[in-house]
Amino acid sequence: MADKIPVLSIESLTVDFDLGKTCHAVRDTSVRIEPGEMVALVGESGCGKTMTALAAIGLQPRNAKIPQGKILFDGSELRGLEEDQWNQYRGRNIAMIFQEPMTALNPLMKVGRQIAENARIHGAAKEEAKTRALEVMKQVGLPDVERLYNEYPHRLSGGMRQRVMIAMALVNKPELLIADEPTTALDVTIQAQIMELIRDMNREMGTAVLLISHDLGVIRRMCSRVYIMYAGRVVESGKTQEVLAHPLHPYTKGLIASIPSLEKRGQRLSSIPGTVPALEDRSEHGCPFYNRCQKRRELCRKETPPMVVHKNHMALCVDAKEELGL
Amino acid sequence: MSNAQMENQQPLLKIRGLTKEFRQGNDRVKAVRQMDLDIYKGEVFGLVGESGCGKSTFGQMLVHLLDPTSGTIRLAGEDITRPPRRERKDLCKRMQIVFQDPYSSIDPNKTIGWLVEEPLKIHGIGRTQKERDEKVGKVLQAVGLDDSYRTRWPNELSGGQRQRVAIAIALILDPEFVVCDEPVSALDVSVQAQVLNLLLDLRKEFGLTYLFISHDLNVVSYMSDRIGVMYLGSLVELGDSEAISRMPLHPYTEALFSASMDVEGDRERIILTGDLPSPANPPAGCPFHTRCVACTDRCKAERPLLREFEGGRFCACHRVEERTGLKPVAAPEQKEEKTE
Repeated sequence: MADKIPVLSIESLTVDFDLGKTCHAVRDTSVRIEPGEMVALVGESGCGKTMTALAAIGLQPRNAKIPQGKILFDGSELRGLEEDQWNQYRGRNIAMIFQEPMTALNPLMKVGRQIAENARIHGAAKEEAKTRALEVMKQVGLPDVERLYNEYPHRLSGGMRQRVMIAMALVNKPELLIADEPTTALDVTIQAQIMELIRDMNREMGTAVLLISHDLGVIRRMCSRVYIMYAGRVVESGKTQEVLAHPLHPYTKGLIASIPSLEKRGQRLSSIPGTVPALEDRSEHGCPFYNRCQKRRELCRKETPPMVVHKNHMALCVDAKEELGL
Repeated sequence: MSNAQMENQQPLLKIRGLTKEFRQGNDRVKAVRQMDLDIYKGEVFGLVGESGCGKSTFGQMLVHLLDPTSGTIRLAGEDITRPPRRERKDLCKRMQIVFQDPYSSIDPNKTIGWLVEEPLKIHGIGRTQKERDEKVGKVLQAVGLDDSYRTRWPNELSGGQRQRVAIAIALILDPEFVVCDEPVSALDVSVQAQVLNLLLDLRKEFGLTYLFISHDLNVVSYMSDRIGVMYLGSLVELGDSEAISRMPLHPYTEALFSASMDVEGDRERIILTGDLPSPANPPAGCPFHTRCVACTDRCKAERPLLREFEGGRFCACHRVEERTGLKPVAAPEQKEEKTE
């Protein structure tokens, strides 16, 4: 696994905001995605998963600073690129789809042109762009593409809009697709359709996918590896099956235990007390999960826990070593 | 609660032929059509469906936020379909609702204490400020917020805490029946578990009955005693939540459960093609036939009725017998749903 050059490798990335003092939205985060792989980034809201993804394509907010870290795309460093250099990559090599398809599409532009525009920007001639747009629209399962090409976004349903977004992202056959909660705004049966589509595209076109989600059920079916983020840090990572079956970090355990299901009827759900600390309340030192952890000790407050790695399964916890029996 | 227990009881809410039409230009949209439902005291009745299927409209009609076009609602035997103004206020004491989004459902310009106290003032409960304060304190404690929250503002609270406040506001008047309209969909998983635990605790403590509306099958099957599945304004399946999740009868329920992708699940997935048809223009025959995997010619022509099957289950599908082998209990005429 280590010999291949990853499509995207984020190495100890930190994203800071200045809110009176320096606050870390993302801290020391490393994520790597191999070609053709589907990888998940999981966490609650405010955990920094979207910020990590935005920084990976240079779309972090203006007031964000990136004091350290590398963003390697196919081996070449992207961090610190100028805007026009970024534009060479964005939409061509790396594409991103967002949660809410209605706000991400331009309501005043016909959907066909929005898709073709992305091809045009990256050098396709007008006619070619249209052909490619129609082709990719068919690929993502949109019906009656010739007619839809000339429709405005408001005439489409939520599921169809998300398909348009995916078509737009895939028109240049990117190496990497970042999908930020692509189905949260959709109904259950439509969610299943869109997830299936993303998986098909991954298989057929070989596009690597970074899927950001909070839904462990989706991730279990879709992704081979998973990164669990909490309060700006990756607290656990590894093969999806392994992480979900034998979680090491107390946060991952809590997350899995708090999912309701038929089997848990009649029992109390175990929940994680408290909420994710706000950006300005996070302490500089110690474990990010300290204030909600059931097993915390004095040690956890003072020192950042060690990163325990065993057979590609990583956890950021003082107890992880013991749990692995090392 | 077991079936036998429920049979001995009078339903708390008896809903017959409840219909709601909305005008949309010159069209009439039937958001809810001919719903028949009994909700028993002390149970959690889960209502599931995709957006636009009429589940929220149904919930809001029960608590009189919307007036039904036709049909009747009885609360403990008493007709409350169209109450006069004065009685309407009294009904608020007995039936309450908790909404989905705790960010927009509570007034940002009032303190938590004021918000929770307001219903008491409106209904003239508690003669003195001290009496009211006591009651507010008790309810806040019940939802897991200490006294210091009284003077705090909504913007200082997290989503989970706000939802606790919304629940406190609903419970301050000691209602019997609470509609929970997607109460946890805006919350994160770990916080969602806190609120679900709270709702179940409160049910025990105050003897509440819930109509629990959600699109999340995991949440609904965890919470509910019975589940009703809605599609385009009518019930397509109704039954014990255990039975429905283990063996769905209606193809739509089957698809919903397979799409919900539970973490431990290895059930075969059924992916429906196409979108939900517009309720303004529902398909002829069975409303689900455009997306159904088991559609026949009969389904395209004839609207199936909600029929009772063995094991106290109800399903509106022509093909239940051949697909599952379950036998209908009574003649279909017994259910008074009309085809249109």
